[in-house]
This record gives sequence, structure tokens and C-alpha cells, in this order.
Amino acid sequence: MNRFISAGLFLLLAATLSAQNSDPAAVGTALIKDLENKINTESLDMTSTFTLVQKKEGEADRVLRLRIFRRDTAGKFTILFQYPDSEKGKGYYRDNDNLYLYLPSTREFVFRNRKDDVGSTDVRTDLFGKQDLLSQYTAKVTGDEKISKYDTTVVQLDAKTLDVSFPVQKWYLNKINNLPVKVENYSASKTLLRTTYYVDFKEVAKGKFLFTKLLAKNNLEKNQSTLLSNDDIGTGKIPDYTFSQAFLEEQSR
Amino acid sequence: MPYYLSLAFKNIFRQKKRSFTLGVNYFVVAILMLLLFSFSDGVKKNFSGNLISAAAGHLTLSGGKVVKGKTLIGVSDYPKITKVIEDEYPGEVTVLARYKLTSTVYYLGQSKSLSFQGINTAKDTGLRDQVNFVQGSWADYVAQENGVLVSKDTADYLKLKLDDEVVISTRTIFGAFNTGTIRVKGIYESANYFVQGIVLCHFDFLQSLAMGDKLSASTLFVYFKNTDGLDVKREKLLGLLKDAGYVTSKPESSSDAISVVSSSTPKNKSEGVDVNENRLTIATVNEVVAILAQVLDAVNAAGGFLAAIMLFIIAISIFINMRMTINDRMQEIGTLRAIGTETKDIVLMLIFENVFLSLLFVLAGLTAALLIIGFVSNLLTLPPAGILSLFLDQGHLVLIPTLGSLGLILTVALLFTAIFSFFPARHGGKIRAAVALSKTY
Repeated sequence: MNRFISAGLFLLLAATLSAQNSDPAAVGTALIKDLENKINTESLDMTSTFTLVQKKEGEADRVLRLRIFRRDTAGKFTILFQYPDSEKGKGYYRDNDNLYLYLPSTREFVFRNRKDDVGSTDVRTDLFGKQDLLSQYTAKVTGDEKISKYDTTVVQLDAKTLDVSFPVQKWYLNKINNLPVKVENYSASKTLLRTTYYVDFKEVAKGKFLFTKLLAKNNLEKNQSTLLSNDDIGTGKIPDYTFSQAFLEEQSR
Repeated sequence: MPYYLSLAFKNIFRQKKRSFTLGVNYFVVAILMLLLFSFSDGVKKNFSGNLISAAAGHLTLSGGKVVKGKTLIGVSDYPKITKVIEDEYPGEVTVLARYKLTSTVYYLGQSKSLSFQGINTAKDTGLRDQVNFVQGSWADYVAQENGVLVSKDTADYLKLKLDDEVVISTRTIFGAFNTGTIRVKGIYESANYFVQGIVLCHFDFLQSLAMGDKLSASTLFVYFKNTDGLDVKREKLLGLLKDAGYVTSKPESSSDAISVVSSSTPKNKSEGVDVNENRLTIATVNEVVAILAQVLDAVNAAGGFLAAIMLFIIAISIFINMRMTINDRMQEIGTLRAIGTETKDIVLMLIFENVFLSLLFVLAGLTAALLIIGFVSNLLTLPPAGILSLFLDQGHLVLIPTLGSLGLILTVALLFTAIFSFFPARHGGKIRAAVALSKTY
């Protein structure tokens, strides 16, 4: 029922926007704002388990399992590596722009780029936290496209400054619910580097969505992709202590 | 010459077995120490030579531009810095700008992270002499704007051939990804450790790939006619560049100096948004190799410890030998004392017997070590791959025996022998004629 209400509201927003304003930048900005409102869960603490399967031609599949604790209100998340055993005890702790990787072997925290790849897969840590696209990019609608069975609006994001990983992004947003179907990441020279397909979402609270399946494809390294599934989603209150370096250290013991 | 010296010389091999047993110890210690010192000096010289030929200057400058508290790595306005240096040392100095970055190369389903170095091919030709072309040529590389030279190992790994076009992806200085296409114009082998694995590009190509401004470089290498007075020259340049508007500094440690040469990301403290400045750090090549010197000192110390154990054995041997010798030669000592030989002459005769013995065997050991060094340095060829190439010059192990090392080993051995011979010799010298002769008859 909630989905229908949400979709209805979105259609109303889209209709209003197109009627009142055909400026691609204004429409694009409104769509991204609406998207961020849906996928950012400021009012909630989120807990879930991610399973990443990295597929590479000529190599056996690599599987990683991570437990995520997320608090968008404070701009924090904690990631714990649970599988394989060789990665167990590792973890990330993000506090706004500061991202730390904990290495249990040396018991040290390494300051990382907030756009770090998780365990050398095609999935980036910024995927797990709060999205703040409009502070980094300007948005504009560039057209419509059909992706698989979905009709989408293509919103191009151009970086305001070059301190982002991908200076150009294209978000293909489902015309029905404004959730992403596909995201393309481009380099500064407009070469397509990665494509992320959002396969499924779960509504975790009224109007709040979390992806449950996605496929990240490396466009430079042919036949390399990472399949990510998101299970055991919970929205219960997480103890404050979870969002600390001490928690990561403790969990690795 | 005092008569006891000629007597001592004649007595060296009176007890052949004992003398040879003791002598072999001196022989081995001399070989061991000379090989160790020669290796250490060889590595230092080879390392510095290779480093200066490929990856550092006599002075190396790197830095960062801090804009609103964010640091963009690299040297800002390098032509201005070059002019300051050239004006200070007209005709005596060469300043080379390099652009460096790490990028992942994708080719035929393989990927590899590689170090790229961009050079100004018109001015920076030193690397040309460091590579042997397996395929392609320096001229082909120079002629192609996006042309690169790759090592044979890299080419084999990625199955690269001449004229292949390859996509590379890297982070720009601002953090965003950028991509470019390189064309393989040469495949090389190099005996220089610091050249192996580098992908050599054009300066302008890398600068534009990293989206750096036209006046930026990763590092500047400054070469003088020789390495004399580098610290003084550095101090002078620090002052001049400070006057030119840079915040200048020296590396605080040897590892900081290595960071300057590798242009690695500086460990920045969090900075306020009001911080805006151009920073420069200048390292001397001596500071860069200091960390190696520390390692080599540790190796030398380990060798020294081994030598000390052997010398300890020698000391005990000297003591026992002399006590036995004195007992065996009681009649001779008694007779010498009876005909008026003084205590000190007996003592000196006994000491010099051992000193001559050690001199003979240490010289033999040093000669043998020089022969081994000659053989290893000239006739033994090793494959110049990986870390081993740090010790090799054109495939040969670099061992440099210096006069200083030879003198040091000889002096230490002789002094050591004299000191440890003194106490048993003094005992022998103090024996009175009547006591000595009564013990014999």
C-alpha cells in the first residue's frame, strides 16, 4: 500500500514539475532531491548484511560478507567483515568525511579515501552511507531511456569540483517510483568506468528504500563484476558505541 | 733492527701446527671483514649511482599546494623554481622536472597497477642510457605524444606488443578518475633497480592526464657537477625559495627524504580552511641513502659481531699458545736471560712473534679476499632481476675494497694481537734465568 502511495506522490511530483518547469536542470535537481529523500534514512538506524560476490574471468568467484551499521542522521556507518576468515576482523568506520579502515593484523586504523573500494571489489564504501549528490554535482535531465523493462528518466550529474571519484554520472531513474535502475560512472575524459544496476529495493520505512540487490560492473576490466545482496535488514536502534573505532577493535578480538 | 725482532720473525713457525691453527683464524677474519666492507661500500655506491641516474637528483624537491586547507600534491610553478636555482648556480646546475603517477592498466582482460614517470625528452635524457631496448627505440618513443616505454616484465605480463594502444585509468590530483590511452613505443630491460617496472611517458601527457596545471610537476631533480657541499647548497636554496614565496623545509628523517623522492602523499595534519600556501621540501641524496646506510651498518655490525667472536677465539688461542710456548721454550728464555737479555726484550720478542704471525695471515687473507672480489666482480654474472639488482652493476656484484677498509682490518688485527699477547708475554719476560734453567735441568 505504502509503495502505491509513494509512487502516486512521485507521479504527482513529476507531473507538477513537467507542467510548471521544463528546465532540465531544475527537473533533474528535483528528481535527485526526491531520490535522496527516499534512499537516505535520516530518521532510522539501519542494520543489514551485505554479501558481495566478485566475478572475474578466469578466476574463482570471490565472496565477501559484511555487516553494516548505518546512522545517516550523524553521517556515520560501521562495516564489519564477517567472511572469508582471511578478512574477518577488518572493518570500516566512517564519521562524515573521515573514513578509517581497521586492520586487525597490525591493530591499526588507516585513514582512507571516503570513496575506497570495499575489499578490492567494484563496490565503493560511499554506496553504504548517506548520499549527498547535490552538494557535489549539478543535475540535469538529458532524456528518457528504457532499461530492461523499465522506463527511466536519465539525469546527468556533473561534478561541481573534481574532488569526487567520478566527474560525470548518469542516473537512470524509474519513471514510476524515481528509484535508480542503473547508474553509470564516467571519468573526467568521459570514459565509462563502472555501471551499477539496481535490481531490487525494499521499503524499510514509509517512503524510505534500501536496495537489496545490485550488480556493479567494471567497464574497463572486461567480464569483471560484483553482485551485491543486502539481507537481514533491521531498523532497530543501534547503540552509540557501535559507531566508534573501539567497537571495531573489540569485534576483531 | 733490535735483535729480538729478527728472533721473533724466525720463531713464527717454530710450532708449525699451533701457528697454522691460529693463523687460519686471522685468515678467515680478514677475508670475512674485507668482503663485508667491500659489499657495504659497493652497495652504497651502486645504490646512490642508480638512484641518481633514475629516481633522484643530488637535491630533490617535492611539495604541495595547499588551497583552503586541502593539499594538491606536486611542485607549483616549477619554471620559477628552476629559474631561481639556475640563477644562483649559472652553468653549474641541471634542473629536471618529472611528473609521476600510479595508474591501473587494462589490457586483454588483465590489469596491473604501474608507476608512470613523465619526462621532458628534450632535456631529460639520462634514462636513455639506463635501458636496453628489446623492441622499439628511444626515437620512436620521443616522436609519439602518448608513446611509452614499458619494461619487458610488464610487457610479458600484460602480453603487450609494440604499437599496442592501452587504456589507463588514474586518479587526478583532485581525486577524480581520469582515463587516457597510451601507445607502446618501446620495450626495455634495465639493470638499474630504480628503472625496472617504470612506464616512461612524456611529461605533458601525464600532466594533462592528472589534470595538473601547466606549471606543476611532481618533483624536481637538481644535479650539480659533484656532490660536494650539498647541505650548504640546500640551505642556500631553502632561503632563496622562501624569498620567492614558498614555505620551505628539510625532511625530518630519512623516511621523509624517501617520501620526497617518491613524491608520496605527505602525512598532512588536518588544516584549517584559511591555510593557503605553496610548500616545498628539499632532500639531499645523502639523506635518501641514509636509511640504506643504516641497514648496511646493521649488516656490518652483524659481521663485526661474528668477527668479534672469532677474535675472542683468537685471543684465547694466543693466551694458551703463549703459555705453552713459554713452557716449551723455558731453556731458551733462561739462556737469553742468563746472557743479559732484559725483561722488556723478551716480552717484545714474544709479542712480535704473534704480531708477525697475524700480519702474515691477515695479509694472506686480504690477498685472498681481493682475489675473490676480483672473481665475483668481473667473472660472475647474475640476472639483474628484482631486489638483487640493487647490488648489481651490469649483472656483476659491486664490491669495492677501499684502502681504508684494508688499513682498518690490518690495524685492528695487529693491535688486537699485540694487546692480547702482552699479558702472557709479560709473564714469560718476568721469569728469572735461574728459575727458567732450574725448571729445564
